[in-house]
Parts: sequence; C-alpha cells; structure tokens
Amino acid sequence: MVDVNAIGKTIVDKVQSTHGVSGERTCGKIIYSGDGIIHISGLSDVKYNELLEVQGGFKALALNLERDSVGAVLFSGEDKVRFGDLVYSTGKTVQMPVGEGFLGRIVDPLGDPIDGLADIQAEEYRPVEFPAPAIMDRGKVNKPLQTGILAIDSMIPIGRGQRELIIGDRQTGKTAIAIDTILNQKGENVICIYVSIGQKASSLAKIISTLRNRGAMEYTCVVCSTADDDAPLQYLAPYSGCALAEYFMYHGKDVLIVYDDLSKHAVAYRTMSLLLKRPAGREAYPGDVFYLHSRLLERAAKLSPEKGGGSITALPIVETLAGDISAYIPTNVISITDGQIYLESELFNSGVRPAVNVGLSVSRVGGSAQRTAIRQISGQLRVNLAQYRELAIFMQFGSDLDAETQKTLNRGAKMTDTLKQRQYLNYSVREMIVLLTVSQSELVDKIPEKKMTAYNEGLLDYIHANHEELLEKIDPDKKTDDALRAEILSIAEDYVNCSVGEDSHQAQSDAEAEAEDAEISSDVK
Amino acid sequence: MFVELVGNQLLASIGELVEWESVVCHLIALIILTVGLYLLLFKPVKRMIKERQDKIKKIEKENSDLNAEVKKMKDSTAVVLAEAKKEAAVIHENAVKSANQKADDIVADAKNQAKNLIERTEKELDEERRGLQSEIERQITDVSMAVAEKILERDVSPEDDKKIIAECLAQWSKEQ
Amino acid sequence: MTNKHNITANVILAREPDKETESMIEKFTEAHGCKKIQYEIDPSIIGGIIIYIGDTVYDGSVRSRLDKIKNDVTA
Repeated sequence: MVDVNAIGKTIVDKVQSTHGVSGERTCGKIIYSGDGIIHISGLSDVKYNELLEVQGGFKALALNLERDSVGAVLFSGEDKVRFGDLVYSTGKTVQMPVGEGFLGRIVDPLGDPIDGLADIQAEEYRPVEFPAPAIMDRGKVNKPLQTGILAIDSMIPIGRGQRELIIGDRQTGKTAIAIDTILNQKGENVICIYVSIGQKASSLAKIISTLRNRGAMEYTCVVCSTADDDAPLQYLAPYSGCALAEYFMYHGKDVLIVYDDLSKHAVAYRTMSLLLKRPAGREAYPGDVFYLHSRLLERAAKLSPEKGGGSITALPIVETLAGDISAYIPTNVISITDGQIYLESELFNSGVRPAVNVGLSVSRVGGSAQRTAIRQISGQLRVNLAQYRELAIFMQFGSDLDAETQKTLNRGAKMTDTLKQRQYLNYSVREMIVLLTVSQSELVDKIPEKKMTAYNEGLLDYIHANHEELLEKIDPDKKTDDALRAEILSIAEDYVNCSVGEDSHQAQSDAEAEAEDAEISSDVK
Repeated sequence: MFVELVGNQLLASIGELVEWESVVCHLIALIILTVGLYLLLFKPVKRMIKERQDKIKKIEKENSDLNAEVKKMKDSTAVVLAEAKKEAAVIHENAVKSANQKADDIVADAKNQAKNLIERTEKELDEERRGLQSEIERQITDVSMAVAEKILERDVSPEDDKKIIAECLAQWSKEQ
Repeated sequence: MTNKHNITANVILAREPDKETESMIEKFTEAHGCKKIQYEIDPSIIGGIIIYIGDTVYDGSVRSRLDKIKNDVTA
C-alpha cells in the first residue's frame, strides 16, 4: 500500500534540504531553434562539449562555439524550446551516472532507466567523453575472450582488451554473433554492455528478452537509443556506454562492450553536423568522423597490472551496403580496430552460419591470447581450409578428380560443416578442442556428408552423458598430447560406430549410385 | 599192392590221354593270361578303388569341416547377438541419459524463466507503487506551491522585499 | 570581466525600488563595472531581484526559489 505518512515526510525532508538563493550564473538567449538545434547569443565563456541547461529543465550540448553565438544540440524538449528562452551554462561536460546498480538494467544514453523499474543508485558520475588510457597504463592483451563460436575462437581469436570489428551486410548475423558472445560470458566474470544505436525498438526488445531469458541480464547493461530517439542521443549512446564500461575497467574488471552499430552512429553525427552547418566531406560526413570513432574505440584497452589490470573489449558493428567494405565508414573503422570478422550474405544464404568469411577475417592481437590447446590445432585448420577453398574453386571447372583430391574436398566440406553452429549454441573451450581434434582426423571420412553438424552435436551429447571425465582431462592451457588425442579419437570412434552404422550403408549406396550416374553421364559425353 | 597197381594203371591211362606237351602249352598260356590280366585289369581297378576311397574320405572331411564351421558360426552369432544387445543397451542408456539431461535443462530453463517473470513482475509492482507515491508527492507539491505563491504575492511587504534584495546583493558581493 | 565595462545592467524587481534599495543596487553594479542601470518591474517574480550584467545573471527572485524547491522535491 502507498504509505501516506511517508509521502508527507519525504516532501518535508526535501523542502528542508533545498537551500537558498542561486548564485551567479552565465546565461544566453536562444536566437534560433529548429531541428533540435539551437543557436544561443551570449554564453561567451562556454566550453566545447559543455552541458547547457535550457529554461524549463531541458538539456543541450554545446558543439559550435562562434564569435557571438553558440550552436548546441538539444537532448530533449525540441518542441518546447522557444525563441528568447534563457540558456544557462553548467560548467560540466555531459556526465553518465555509473555503478554496480546498472547491471541488469536498460538505460538511455543519459543514464535514466527506461525498463520501468526503480531509479538506479549511481555510485559516481563519469564524464561521457574521457581520454583513453595512456600508453604507459596499458598492458599486453594476454587473456582470451571466448565467444563460444568455433569459427571465431579457433581462427579469429579475440583477446580481452581488443577491438574486433564485426562487419557485414544487413541480415548476415552480425548482432547474433555479438549476442552469442554476451551469452557466452556467463560465469566468465566479464561484465557486458550492449549499446544499441538507432536500432529498431522491436529488434531491441527481442534482444533484451533473449538476454533476460538466458540469464545474461545479471551481468549485462543495455544502453539504448532507438531509431526514434533524437540524433544527439544516438550520438551520445556509445560514449555513455563507454563511460560505464570505464567505471568497471578502472575497478579492475573485464568488460565487453558491443556497439550496435557504428554506421548508424556516423549517420546520427552526420545529421547533427549538417544541421549545425559544418562543412560536409566524403559521403556528406563531416571531416572529423574518423576522430569520432577513433576516440571512442581508443578507450577500449587492457590496463597494466599496476592499474588494476581491467580491460574493455570492444565489438563494434558496422553495416556495409552490398558487401562494399571500401565505403567511408567501414574503411575508417577497419583501420582503427585490431581486426575484423567479415560476414557475407552469400555464405549466410548458402547455409554457412555464422557466415564468417575466414579468408577476409583477421585478428591482429588475439593470437597471443589464444588458449594453447586450441592454437595447436587451429594452425593446421586454417591451412587445410585454405587448401580446400582453392581446390573447391578449381573443381568448379569440372575436371576429373583423382581419389586424393576427392578426399581433400570431402574433408574440407566436412570441416566447413563443423564450423557451422546454431545460434545460442555455444561451445566451451574443451568441447571445441574435441570437435577440432575429431574434424582434423581420419575419422571424418566415416561420417556421411551433410550429417556432420548433427553428428557434432550428438558427439558432444554422448561425451557429456558418458565420458564427462574426458572433458575434465583436457587442459586448454597445455598442448594436447598424443595419448589424450588418441583417447578423444577412440571415444569419438565409438560414437561414430554406433550412431553412423545405418547411415553409412545408405551413404555408400548413395555414393555408388552417384558414381554410376557419373559414369553414365560421362558415357553420354 | 592193389592200390599201387591201380595207380600205375591210372597214370598210364592219363599219360595216354594227356600229352605232356599240351600240358606245358596250357601252363604257358595260363601264365601269360595271368600276367596280362594282372597288368591290364587289376592295377587300374585298384587305382580306381583307391581314388574312390580318397574321394569319399575327402567328402567326409569336408563334411566334418562344414559341421565345425556351422557350429562355430552358431557360437559367434550368439556372441554377436549378445554384443549387439549390450551395445543396444548402451545406446539406449546414452539416449535416455542425454534425453534426461535435455529434459532437465528444459525444465530448469522453464522454471528459471517463470522465476524471472515473477521477480520482474514483483519489481514492476514495486516500481508502480513508487511511481504512484511520487505522483502523489508531485500533486501535493504543486498544490502547496500554488498556495505559497498566492500567499507570498499578497504578503511580501516592501520591507521584506528590501531585506531579500539586500541579502542577495551581500551574498553575491561576498562570492566575488 | 572586461566585457562588462560600459554595459547596461538590467535589473528586474517586483515593485518600484526606493532610494535605499537603488543605492544598494548601484553599489553592486558599480563593483562589476557597470555605470548604467535599467530597471524593469515584473510582479510575476513575486519578490527579490534579478540582475543581468552581460552574459551573467544573478537570480535572487522569490519565484526562482519556489521553482527550485519545486524541482528539488519532484525530481
């Protein structure tokens, strides 16, 4: 029940706590207001990026300082601000409330909760724009951030403190990779921050319900600006998210921050810049759009042990149009980040999910952070896959194949199948080692084509049900020795023998039929 | 005496009847016949019989071999069957195990979701209550402010005004 | 504070000031380098004083105090 006495008491307390007269303040008058932009005369000593207070309690951000006017963008109250209203300077830059209380919450870029729950108790306020850690404060990236996605963890490893771009056309599963990565941080002692910039409210709601249902909200905060938010809020969102991430980083924690996506951020900034009448450059983006992203992504870092050893791992997402990674924003962000995961719609449509193009994806620093056992196997994997792709292209010319080539092709196809992974099905490191070991062995020849994915899932279930001790025996930080390898393979063989049985006969007869068909067709030729 | 006499007489009569040369000739013919028959007939027949015997022996051996094999096969079938049964049991067990695990997971998941839903609803209820409270506070404040304004407008005397102005100016000058 | 020289100070009051008040205000504005004072009467501020000197505003009105209390209580 609503406590009536408490209401009276709180009001009295509040009235008591407010005091006296406001002192000297600098103010100006609005001389233009439109499209969320205001021009203010006066305010001569306002600073760049200073937070302004408009009469009526609205907030604005000073961005253009001119001789006798100031250009600012409104965060709210676009339709309520009028000509002649007073604008006060606050002497502060935009601040983001931060604290442990933000985990599990959904907030807007100014730190106000929008999930319909109680106010968040901020432990401190951090400036939204903050200098990146100095060179001496940084440590080496040496701890892996497991995404739980086999293709990425084996070939494009990400380290804590790295910035890895996820790039691809629309509908290629960019967000899915980011969400899978967040889900995989359960129990890894990593705090996740998902920053949505200009996303559709419906897709955002879906993401949040996924995170909530899978128990990921406990260690996640969502900073969101949807597509209907004003451009300044969308512009602010990644910086606010980063300020929150920094709070945790400087407290020695590992943080994963996802910016979804930076192309919309650039568009929001372009809107603001054009309305502020700043000169437009390539693709109508203002001249400092590179700096816009570089100063954001530079704040992702791994701190040295003296500074607490915290880290921010950034996963910015950039959307390309028709696979064009040479457009302005993609090239910018590619050059800023420590590598990229390139997703292709062709791969996606042909059923390779996640649609990672292994050839074009790189990770520049993550290799040193990769677990030893995985590194041991994955080197070979990359070579084999490259070989397979080369052969596969060659095979398209339809030349006759000798048995050896055919075998390489088959194995390659199965390896590609192994890298396919359902969404929300994350592998642990030990499971990955098992799958990689098996996929690199002779054993795959026994498994019928097109059944590889089902087989992999079955194998893991089998091992979990019957040979849990095997998984415990695997040490990801040590090289897998031959004895362990043999054990893995023998267990896998047991499973293959008892599960593939009928399928293999069928596959054989299929293969024979195919061979006959081939003969017939060659005869016809 | 008589016997001797009869014997001599018989011999003499035989000697008259059979000439010794023909006897010899017969003997020779008999020998030749015997040798010829032995060479031409007896050996092949003997060989044939031996071959027959061998064949029969072989067939017999084969028979026994086959029997043994059949027996062996019977035995191995039993073993295979037993193994298959065992394997089937293992597979079944595995399937049941993983199915159980999956079922447990699903149930746990559903329970978790239900719990989350309840928790969330409770939180939302709390928040609703809090929102209501602050709404009431706001209303009360609005009313009291309106009242205060009215009273102040009427009750602020020129002296009070002067005092306020003096206070403000003093404070601002101090801040300088 | 150089920009405040030779600038007219805008003073808003709720009622006409008497001599004593005027001299107090003059003393204050002179300390901030303003010679000229322009008075404006606005009863809606209820009481107290608002002084604009250039870009700086000194707001000591009863109305603003009320607003502040209102904001603090409802925030």
